[in-house]
Amino acid sequence: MSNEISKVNPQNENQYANYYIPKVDISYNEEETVILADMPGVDNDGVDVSLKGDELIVTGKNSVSIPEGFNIKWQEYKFGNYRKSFKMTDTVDLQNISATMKDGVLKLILPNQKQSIPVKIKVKAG
Amino acid sequence: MLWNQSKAHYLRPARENHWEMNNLFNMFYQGEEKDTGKYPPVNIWTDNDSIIVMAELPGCDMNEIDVSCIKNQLTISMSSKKETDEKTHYLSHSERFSNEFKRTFELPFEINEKKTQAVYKNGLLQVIMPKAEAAKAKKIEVKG
Repeated sequence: MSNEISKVNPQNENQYANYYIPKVDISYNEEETVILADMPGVDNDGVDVSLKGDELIVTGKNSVSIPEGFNIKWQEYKFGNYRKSFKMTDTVDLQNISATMKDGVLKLILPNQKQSIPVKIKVKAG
Repeated sequence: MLWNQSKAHYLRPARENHWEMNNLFNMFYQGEEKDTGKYPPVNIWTDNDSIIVMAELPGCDMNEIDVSCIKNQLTISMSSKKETDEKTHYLSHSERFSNEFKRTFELPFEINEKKTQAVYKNGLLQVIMPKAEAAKAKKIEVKG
């Protein structure tokens, strides 16, 4: 997905019009789902992860300052804050979601609920 | 054999290394960001004495990023892929860029390589390059 498409349409006059949608990777295994979200310019204090019903909302506040006294000559990305929400399914253990921020990437680990982790049953010889 | 070699050489810059040149002389800034599809995306600022290139590089190992400059060329590259958890997880959705890259910029003036600084913080790489003494404008006295 190109950078342009992933950004919020500026004509959309809702309260999130000035937010950008971070690019994400989602991977999973039997125990958990991992979401990686690119939010360059956001530091540890600027990121907020909250749960509203079954919606996990991620926001990031860009802390980069534009160099003073300089004129911009070329721009391929915009400075702004980030927002993205994810719909949680019944299998996610909402109480034990963990989030870490490093080098502008937010890593969310969504563990599966214990009862939804497959349990191996030994087949005995009859 | 000769044909194969020359064709391979022709394809390598675009497909493997994301190699390209941007000539700031030809840039025509219209006050809007442009999506060139090139990685990493950059913003460039200038004042009379220096130029700043800021690149979005989230999730990189600082020691793997290679920044080099010579005369009026700046190259930003990374020869290794970003770390992934491919071995233990199945990837179901992928938007992030995680491959190696190389991007070269042609700057509008020669820079002082010794005083150039590169800082990587919160997924942003900032390269600050002062103008070379030879490239600075000199005031010439007008005699009567």
